[in-house]
This record gives sequence, C-alpha cells and structure tokens, in this order.
Amino acid sequence: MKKFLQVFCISLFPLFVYAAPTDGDGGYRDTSVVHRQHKNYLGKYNGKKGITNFGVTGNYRGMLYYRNMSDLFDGTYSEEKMLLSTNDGGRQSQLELDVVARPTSTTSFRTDFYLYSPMRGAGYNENETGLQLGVNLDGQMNYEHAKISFRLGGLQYTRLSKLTFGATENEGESLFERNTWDNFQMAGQNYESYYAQGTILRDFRWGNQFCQGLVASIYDLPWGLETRILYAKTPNNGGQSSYLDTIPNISYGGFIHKKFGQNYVGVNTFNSVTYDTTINGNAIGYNIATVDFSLDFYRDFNITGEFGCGRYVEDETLNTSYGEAMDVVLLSRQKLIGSPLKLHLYRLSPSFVNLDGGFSTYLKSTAGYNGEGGSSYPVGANMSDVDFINGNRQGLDVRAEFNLAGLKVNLATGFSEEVDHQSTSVSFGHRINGIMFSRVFAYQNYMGPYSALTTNYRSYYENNPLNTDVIDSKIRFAVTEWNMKYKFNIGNRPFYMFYLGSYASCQDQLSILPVLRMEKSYMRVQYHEFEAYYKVNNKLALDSYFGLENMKGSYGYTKAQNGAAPVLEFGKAIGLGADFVLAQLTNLYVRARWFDFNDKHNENSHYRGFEGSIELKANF
Amino acid sequence: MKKIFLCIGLAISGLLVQAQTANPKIQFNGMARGDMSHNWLSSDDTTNVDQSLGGAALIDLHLDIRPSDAVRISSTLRVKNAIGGFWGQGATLELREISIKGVAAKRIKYRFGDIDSRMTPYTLWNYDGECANNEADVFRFIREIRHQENFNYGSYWRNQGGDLSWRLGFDKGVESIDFTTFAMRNRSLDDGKTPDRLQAGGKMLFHFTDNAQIGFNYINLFDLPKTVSKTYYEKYSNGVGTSDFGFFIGRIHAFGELGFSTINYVDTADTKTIDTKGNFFEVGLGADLMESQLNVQASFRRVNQNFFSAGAQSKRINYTSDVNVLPVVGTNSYNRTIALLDLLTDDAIYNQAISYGLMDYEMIFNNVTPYGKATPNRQGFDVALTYNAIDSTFETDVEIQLLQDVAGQGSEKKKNYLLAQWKGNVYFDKIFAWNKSVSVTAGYQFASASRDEDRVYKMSKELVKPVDLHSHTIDLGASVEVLNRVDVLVGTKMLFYKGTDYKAILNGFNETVKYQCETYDGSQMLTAAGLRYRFNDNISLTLQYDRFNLKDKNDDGNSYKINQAFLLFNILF
Repeated sequence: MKKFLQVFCISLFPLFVYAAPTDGDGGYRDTSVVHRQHKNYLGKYNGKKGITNFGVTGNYRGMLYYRNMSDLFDGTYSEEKMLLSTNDGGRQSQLELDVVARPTSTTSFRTDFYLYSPMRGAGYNENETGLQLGVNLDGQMNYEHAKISFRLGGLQYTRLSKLTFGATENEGESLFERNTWDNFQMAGQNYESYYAQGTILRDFRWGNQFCQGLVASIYDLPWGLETRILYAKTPNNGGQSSYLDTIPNISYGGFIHKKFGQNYVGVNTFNSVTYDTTINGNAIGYNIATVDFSLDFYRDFNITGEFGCGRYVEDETLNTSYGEAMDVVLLSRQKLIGSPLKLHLYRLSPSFVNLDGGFSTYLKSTAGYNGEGGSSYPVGANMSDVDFINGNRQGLDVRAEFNLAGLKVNLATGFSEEVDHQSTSVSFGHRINGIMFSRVFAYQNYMGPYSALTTNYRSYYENNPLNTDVIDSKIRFAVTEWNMKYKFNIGNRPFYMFYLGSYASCQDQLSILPVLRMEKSYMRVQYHEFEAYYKVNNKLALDSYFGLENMKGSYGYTKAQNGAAPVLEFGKAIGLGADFVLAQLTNLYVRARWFDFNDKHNENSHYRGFEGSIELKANF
Repeated sequence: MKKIFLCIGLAISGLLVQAQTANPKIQFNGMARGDMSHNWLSSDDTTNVDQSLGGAALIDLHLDIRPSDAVRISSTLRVKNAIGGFWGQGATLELREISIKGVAAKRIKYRFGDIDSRMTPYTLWNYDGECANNEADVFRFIREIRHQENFNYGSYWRNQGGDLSWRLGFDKGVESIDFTTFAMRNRSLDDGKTPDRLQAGGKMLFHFTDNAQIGFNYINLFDLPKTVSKTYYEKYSNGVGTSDFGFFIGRIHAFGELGFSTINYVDTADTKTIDTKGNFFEVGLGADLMESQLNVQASFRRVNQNFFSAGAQSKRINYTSDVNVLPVVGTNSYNRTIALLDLLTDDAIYNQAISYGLMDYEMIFNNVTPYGKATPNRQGFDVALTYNAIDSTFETDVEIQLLQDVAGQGSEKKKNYLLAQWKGNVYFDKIFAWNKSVSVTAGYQFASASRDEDRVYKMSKELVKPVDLHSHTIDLGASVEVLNRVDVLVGTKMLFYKGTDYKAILNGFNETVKYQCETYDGSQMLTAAGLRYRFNDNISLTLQYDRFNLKDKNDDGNSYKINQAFLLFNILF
C-alpha cells in the first residue's frame, strides 16, 4: 500500500508543470457503467443565483441593571442581596436579528436570532444564542374567489376570538416601566400618544395569543365570508418543552365570519387536547364553541359580543358538562352622554374553562392544570380590574370617558358575583411592585413566607384563603377605576400627568360600588399610581412615578396562609427616570425605583429595596 | 458551543454585509421547511403507544462566498425550532457544512471541507436505498428530503476531507489524462485506543479520444496507528484497486472494470490476524439504437466472495437502527424493524458514514444485490434496456440480473438469484395535448434467491433448509393537476415476500460467524394520497395521508397498521 502510494505520487509529480484543470466538478468521470439513478438532486445549491429579496432588521438592547434587596421576608432568602446584571429579568436578547426572506412574491420565511452576553467577565464564555420566536414559513395562494394565506412554524401570534383563542387587553398600565418590545420613539412620543389617543403603540402581539403550528386564513371569499383554521400547540399542550416527547397534544380550532360592511357575525371553535403520561393516556383539555359579532346600529351604537359554551375535561373518565359563556359590550359613541359610554355584561360558567382565551379562566382544583406543564395554577376568586373577565363569574361594567377642558377622565365601575359558589380563596394582584418582584422570583407558585404568592410574566398575585366556616354564599365583587390624564406646558414644553387608581372589594352582598366598611367586606384592595413626564426637548424626557397599594383583609372572613392574620398590606414605589435620544433610532433610558412593601398584620411579610437600570437601545 | 457561536457570528456578519452592502461576492441560497406529522396505530392496537405527533420549522441558509473567480467558499447554517418548544426551547443553530474549492495557478482544482465524492461502483459509490424503483411522486419527494437531510446527492458520498484534480494534455497517443487524489477522514475517536481512520485514493483517467477512456483507481480505508498510545497497535486497512474502461464504436460501446481488494488487520498485540484478498471483474456491451431512443446493454460480472470495498458497499440505511415512529406495535408489543414506511420518513435510520465492514441489510427488500453491483459473492449476467419515446410521452426501463453465488454459503450448493426491475412513466398531458399535467408512474421489482438441497438433508435432520425467498415490490402512482398549480398525488408501494433464506452473520471483518435462517411470509403496503400546491418548481405545500399495513402471516401478533398525516411546506431558494 505504502509503496503503491509512493510510486503513484512520484510518477505524478513531474507532470504537474503541464497540468490544466479538469472539466468535471472534482474530476470524477464515469467510464464504466450506464447510470440510471439519481438524475434529480434536491438541495444542491451550487450554481443557483442567490436570493436577493433578503433583509435583516433588529435591535440592540444593552442594559445595566442594579438591584439591592435590602430587606426580604424573614431574611433567609438568597435573593436578599445586591445584584448587578446585564438583564432585568426574563429571557432578553442583547442583539436581536430578524431575518426575513421572500423567495417569491407569495412565499417568505423568517426567523430571529437571540444573542445575549451576560458579561460575567472574560473567560466565562457563557454567551447565549438561540431563537427568540423561532422559524416561520409563510405562503399565499391567490384565486379569483379566494385568497389563502398560511403560516407554518412558530412562535406565531394570532387570534380567533376573545373567548376561544386570544389574549387579554388590559389598557390601564404604567408607562414608567420599560418593555423589551418597545420600538424606537422620539422622547415623550409615547406619553403624547397615551394622552391624545388613550393608548400607546402596540406591537403585533397585542391581543393575540401565541402558538406553534399551522394557522391558515382564507379571505376574499364570496358572500363576505372569511375563515381561519388553527392546528397548533400552545404551552397548555404539554408545557413549554412538549417537543421532547411525541405525545399528540394539540390544539385545533377556527372561525368563519360573515362580514357586511364594518359588521360581522361569526362562529368559532377552539379545542385543546392533552394526554397524561400513561400509555395512550387519558385525555384532558377543553372544547369551546362560540358565536361572536360586532354590529353597528342607529349609527352611534355598537354591540360587540360573544356567546358560547364549553366544557372542561379534567379527566376523560369523569363526567363533564358544558357551561355557558357570554361577553357583550354595548357602546354609545356620543349620543347618550356626549362622549363614549360603554356597558359590559358577561357571564362565564365554571365549566367554561379555557387557558388560551382572553380571560382569566377558573380552575376548581387546587393543583395546576395538568396539561400545562406546571405553571397555570388556579387563581381562585380574582379581584380583577374593570372589563377584565374571569371564569365562574357574572357581572356588569360601566365605563365612561370625558374631556373636561383638557383633563381626560375615564371612569369605570363594575360589580360581579360567582356563578356558583366554589371558590375557597380570593386573589389579587400586587400592581405597584409586580414587575420588580417577578424579576426576583420568576415563575414561582405559592411562595413567600405564607405560601400565598405566585409570580408570572411581569406580575405577581396573592391568594388569601376564605374562612369557609363563615362564608357559605356566593362571593360578590365591586370595583371602581379612575384614570385621569392631563397635559399642560412648562416653558413651552409639554408636561403630562397621569393618574390610575382603583378600589375593589369582595363581600357577600351585591353592591354596585365597592364596600368600604371592613365588617361588610371580606377583602378590600386599592391601587394609586401617579406619573408625571416632562418633555424637555425632542431628545430628552424626564419621568417620575409614585405608586401606592393597600390590601385589607377582614377578620373573620379571610386569613393568610398557615393560620396567620388577615392581611393589612401596603406597597409603595417611587420612581425617577429619563429618556434620551442619542441618535437616529437609538435611545438611552434611565430608570430608578425605590420600593417598599409591608404587611402590618403578618410577621415577615415585607420587602424593601432599590432597582435601577440604564438601557441603551438601538433599532435597525 | 463556542464554535457554533463563532459560526453564527460569521454567518450573521455575512448577512449584515449582504443586507447592507449587497456584496456580490456573497450570495445566499438554501432551503426552508416546515412540517407537522401525526402518526397513529389502528384502533384495534390498544396495548402500545398508539399516537405520535411532531414537527419542526427550519431554514438552511447556504452561503456562497466568492472572494475571487478562482475561489469559492460554501457553508450552510441551519436554524431549526421544534413545534412544541416555546421561547427558544428546542431551537438549534447548527453548522451543516462548510467547504472551500477553487483552482490553484489555473491548473489544479482543489476542494477542502465537506465535499461530495464518488469514483466507480466498485470503489466509492453511494448505492441507492432499497425499494426506490420509480416510486410515485407522492413518495419520491419525501425520499428526496431524506436524501437532502443525509447528504445523499445521487451516488456521491458526503465526506470530510480534501481532493485535488488536474489534467495533462498530450499531442499524440493520449489526448489527456485526468488525475484526482483525495483524502477523507473516516473516523476520529479520542479514547486513546482507537486510531484515526482515513480514506484516501486517486484516479487516473486516460482519454485516448472522446470515445475511448481507461481509468485506474485506487482507494484505501486505513488507520493511523500513531494517533493512539504505543501500547495499542490496532491497525486496519481496506485497499481497492481497479481499472475501468469505456470505448464507443459508432453506436456500440464496450465497458468494464476489474480490480482487487485487500483487508488487513493487525490486532493490539501487533499480530496480523486478518489478511483477506478479493477480486472482481465486469465486462459489457451496449448499444444506442433508434436514434438513441433505445439503449440496450448486457454485461457479465463476477464479484469474488472476499471482495470488500468499504466505499462502494456501505449502505445508506443502517438496518440495526431503532425506528422512531411508533416503535412498539402489534399484539406481541414487539419492537418493529425498519419497514417501507421508515425508508421514506425516518431520518434516524440513515447512515452517512463509510463502514469498515459489511453492513446489515433487509433480505425482503432485496437479497440479490444488497450492496449494489459490488455485492460480494455474485456472478452472472445483467441485461438492461431503456426506451424513451421521441415525443416524450412515455419512457420505460427494464433490467434483469441473473446471478449465482461464487461460493456456496454454508452449503456446497450455490444460490441462484434473479433480480428483475421494470419501470415506466406515461405522460397523458403530452399524449392528449392537455394544458394540465397528468402522469402515471409504475415500477416493479422481483427478487429471488433459491437453492435446493440434497434429499439427504431434507429427509434427515433438515440441517439446511432449501432457500426459496422471493419478493415482489410494486410501485404505482399518479399525479393529476386538477387546478392551476394544484396536484392530486396518489401512490402505493407494495411488497410481498415469502420463503426462506440464510443471512450470513458477520464479524467486523466480514468473516461469517454463522448463518441465520430467516423464514418470511408477509406483505407491506404503503398507500398515500396527497394534495400539493406548487408555488413554483422549487416551492410546494403538501397535505398528505399515508396508510401503512404490515402483515406477518407467520405470526399475526407482529402485524400492524400505521396511519400518518402530515403537512409539509418546502421552500428551495
């Protein structure tokens, strides 16, 4: 062998000087046999013209985050410390690259790279890479009587209807906190839009639910019809990593709409099925069918709503029954009070369970929903905001908007009650320090000194058990909200003042307004958020924030976990910040927040500290 | 991880360059694909996991970088996320391939990195997978995806290494000589005991005229013992040398190849324990008739029982692999083996590496030429005929191989083999001048092995059963364009088998350890119907339903049915 190679090489060497390149690719030519196989190669790129319709956009988001948790519960938590980080919590990329290519006019694909360096020091090599939303492939088919567009992959955001597949749209929010998804805006632009339009710029995720799989829409059909089909996985089909097994957990559904002008009537369905881990496991999930509509009448009025029924299969071996749901909004744009007036009527039976809908579902069991994979725990009887609907609840909300010489007032009140008295606890959010606290304890259930706190994405809530010896009738709720916005000039520059407050109670008697007296209510919760923003110039805006929350449980009715006393909680926060425009499409945001929380009735239920961030964001 | 990050960085840098400056030296091609599939057993199979669901979306971004006219760098980066992995979970970034090629000094072609190579069917050749005899469109495009995933481009093997090629021109006698040399890394283990293994060789191809060529080929799969500790002397070598030729005289052409192989193995005690030599030859004549519409060829070949060529006899399918889709089936709850369905749908059973020993094969698929033309211990005739209608309305192809053992296996008697393959395509749209395409495809394969035994064996202890295994593989398919760009695809693939044969159980050096008697009586049927929307020739969306039915008449407890529905969106750009 060795000799053969030597002879081979030596004999070839002198010939090099006369050499010329061969014709073939690599020089192999077939001389011996007739080839009849593999004439068609798939996936060979050589020689193909490169794609030209190809683009990369994205953003850089560099952050310095500092937190000093100077006091945390009983002092035994490891989170009671100072923290320096390049991330203010969650999965955030420093550099996000959105790649989009369009091979033809009717097809495209996209993905987004997630690149993050924790900057733990040279040599640690703990840089993270991955995909943020993932890979999506799009196609469109155009026919004379129909257009079909579809997207395959995920994550992708879409919506069927509020009660079937959608996300909550709670518009009452603080503008002080930064969002990872915020796009570039000139200094103060978002405060102006919040004042002038009542909302801020939303991205494509707003109101939509995410999934992975196939979503196809068929539109421009005859007779004003359009339809959408969904066959996909959500986190409620086996959790966030259900790809690791091949259990056929899936969600499927769709809608058919009949449009006439701006109005429509539609039918919707959404079904989620998940199997437990036994061989050919028991199916668990839910089936929803609804009718929704949006109709204008008498020019000024609009009625939008949805009716439906659904069932929750907690275990296919158990009997299940369907429950009904209704969510109707009647709107008078001008006629009744000269400004918008909205009436919201809703009823969701306890059997109407849907973890993928635009409402907070009701789960009777104390354990999490088994199909979810661990983090969708029952919230009990939630003391929620106006217009935010919950399962096992029926109620009425009224909302009115006024403009009083530039003071924009949005007043709302609502009352509701359980459909069936099944809840053994009430739950309420901690809005003032919710984002901060969820950064400290991400996605935890029943934690804290009394195992009453659950954190989720950018918020946390508390469960307080009811004294079921005393409470044997339906729990009833009342909530009032005030949102005020005012703008005036200082030095010919706009100064914005926003206030968002609410007061909520739950009790045994139906009450249109919140019950203030302790002996007549089980629980009272109030939030007050003041924000002031000053646009110094087009490149600088100053920000400030003050928040206060107070939760009061009533003796005899509520109790904290582990036999502790009903809560008497105070949460406070003071924030200062600034928005700088450094260059075109590049902003610097500075935020500082002092926070404090204390439950005066329960030992160890307190925390305090400071967090600050400097965020440099450049979009491209 | 660091490497991946580096590669991603490089790729992304390239993207940015492309995006911002439209650098003509960098071009992007590639492929994007999304799929979701749902598999389920028949309703009467209640004892096993009866359903599975999965899917993924991925993009292969192929960078074609041309720093100059004489250099070309290629790389493919794969971005993939599994359906069911949220917020980056299950997402992968993978370097699929990277290579450079060019021309040095305007004379010598070179390639380095992930390169595709082949020589002749007896030296380096990626033999086609089983049961792919003109299968229906509804199956073919799925199999092509398997090929793409496993770098099975034609009969080329994907290897990692480098090669050089150049040509010498002459004024008299020989017009030119093409030279090619290459070296690939076959194995790299870091256990301190197993040496690195390379595969290297070369080819000299003499062009006397355009119609007369003679080639000399050599390839060797060998260990580098110095890559491990001196206490380990293990060393393996498989060398194959051949010469091939082709001459055209008018419409007649003659072709052939002959050569030898060696296997040498030195064990850890530095003792040469294996020294096997084999040989083969093939000669044939062919003719192009009827203005080249008809091609006829006949050949005779003899491949010695000891002939072994790792590069030519390695198989695309690793039959010792576990299947992925619903692996436990039947009332016996047994781990099913690779079946027709898996050949089309399961990437995990595909083999991408040259194997140093003869790989296992499935006798019911093809027990005549499981390693292609280079199948050892075969001698006999091969007759092939190809006809293409001049107006392209139909084409047909038939090939018959009548073979026999060179040496008896476990018996003094030799087995006789027959492999008959026919395929045909009819294009009705061309016959009837229809605007929309309508075509029918068909294929048939008959494979048999037979060996009668002496009465004394039959009447006494039946030590050796007669061999009488035969199988029929039938492919039928149709593609009908029912609307603009919309095709209805239907197809079936049937396999019937019955009989007894002995499979040689080999050690790592192709030495027979024992003969295992296998008796079969059953069938496999894969039927599919699909709807395909073609955005253009390279982009399609397919919704398809497959039904697979395996019947084992020897033990009905092994019978099963699998249903499969899938959606596939394939973009080649």
